[in-house]
Amino acid sequence: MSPAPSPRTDLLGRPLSEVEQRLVASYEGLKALLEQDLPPAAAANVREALASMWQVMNDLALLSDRPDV
Amino acid sequence: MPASPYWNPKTETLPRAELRRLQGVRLREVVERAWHASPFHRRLLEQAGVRPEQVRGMDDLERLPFTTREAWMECQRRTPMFGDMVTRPVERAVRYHTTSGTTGRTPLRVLDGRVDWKWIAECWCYGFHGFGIRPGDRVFFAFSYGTFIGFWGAHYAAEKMGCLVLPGGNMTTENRVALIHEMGATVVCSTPTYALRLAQEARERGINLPGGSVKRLILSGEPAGSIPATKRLIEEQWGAKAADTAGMTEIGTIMMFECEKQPGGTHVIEDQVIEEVIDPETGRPVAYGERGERVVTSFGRGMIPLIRYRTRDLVVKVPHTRCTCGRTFDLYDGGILGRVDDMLLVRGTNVYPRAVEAIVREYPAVDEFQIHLTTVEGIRDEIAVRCEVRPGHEAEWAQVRERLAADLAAAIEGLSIPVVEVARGTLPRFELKAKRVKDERVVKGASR
Repeated sequence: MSPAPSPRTDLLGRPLSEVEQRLVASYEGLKALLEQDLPPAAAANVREALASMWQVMNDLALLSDRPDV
Repeated sequence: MPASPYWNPKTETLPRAELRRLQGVRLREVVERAWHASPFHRRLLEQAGVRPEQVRGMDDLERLPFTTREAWMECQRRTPMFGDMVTRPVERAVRYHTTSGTTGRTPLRVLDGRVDWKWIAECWCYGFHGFGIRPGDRVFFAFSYGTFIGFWGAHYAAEKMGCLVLPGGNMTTENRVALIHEMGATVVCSTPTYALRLAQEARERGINLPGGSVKRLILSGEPAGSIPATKRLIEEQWGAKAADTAGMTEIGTIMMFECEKQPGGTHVIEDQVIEEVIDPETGRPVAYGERGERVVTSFGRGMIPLIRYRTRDLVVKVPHTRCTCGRTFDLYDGGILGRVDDMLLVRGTNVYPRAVEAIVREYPAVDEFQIHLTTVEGIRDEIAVRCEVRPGHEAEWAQVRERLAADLAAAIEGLSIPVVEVARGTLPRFELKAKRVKDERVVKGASR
């Protein structure tokens, strides 16, 4: 399954910068990876990475989302 | 890119109107999540006649019901062990923690998921970075770890930021001082009381802290971190700058921190929490500059949404313009000022322990103190301040005692408060939250 299309604005309605768009894409990419059948080593570390990337989404007010990891 | 004085410049400098809009978006999300996943919150919202779709932004905040510690405890009693406030099964949690239990009450039990735990560290990063801590700093934690949440989040924040973490759990005070010295710690995290205890130990071991490596102290766990006289004493004894922070187990992390400008107050981390100040009697909001009770709504903890939680902490909120650091986060003037239920009624006079400490700490001759209350002749309150004299100050003690008693009486409506010397080592020392009130009255505040 491919990542969901990224939003074009942040939670304040401001257009996303190029870096912000890449951050959102990375987050969505990690989420999509977790839908794959991953070995334990990969699954646990992707979950950790996703939880860290959520902090970026949250701090920069980029997305309304909360992964269930 | 120039080094930023802010951990998160985008939101820390957001114009107030936009910050409020962001809080509104997040409030809507947390209410929605709580409604669907937390039976406790759904019950409260239903009782208040509020549905999530009615919460559109910050203007709707006051429609939401308060959450109290008592209700939380009750839900834990009814649905052991964690209550039905929790939004996900325990199998999805990665951390278990409790309140400190220093009040003697049954501690609250909390769970955190993976995202929550990283958010808890993230909030500490705002405070650490804001006070000038940077990668490469060596951060010592004078903290016993265990289930008390204390500095756990700070530990992970330091690690995340690229600092060298020096965990001081399960160590004697002597060994802690030795490690700080040997490892060249540049930052020490501790309660204000324990920072003084460490300094005392260093003196006794002949370690010159003011000439040493420690440049910053991060204080938490007691209001004393913002009492000017206590802070000054700590800074003098360590030769370092001290910053106050305050947090609580109920949100798992800090919600306020002191920045490098040290404006005499702590910035509220307003992109991660909503902090209201209300009249504790009426529940109505109070204006900037007025003392009231903190009420917190936290956005980051997924397993335990916290909505309009009555903290019982007393604060005075002032606008962000009080500080010149450029943050748009409002401040609590003087940090946490005490607890709503801290006040002692003595012969009809209100006595706040924080006010007593602010005066006592003006006297370097006092090493440790305790407020002692008794009932005399079965009816009359008596209050005294028991003091241990700092070594080297014995000769001036008689004069100090008189001046201190006069200062206390002048500050506390003329109430006579004798100052009594006790032998060295008599009074308790604390690592966690200090308890300097010993109330042995049979009848409290009954007689003038």
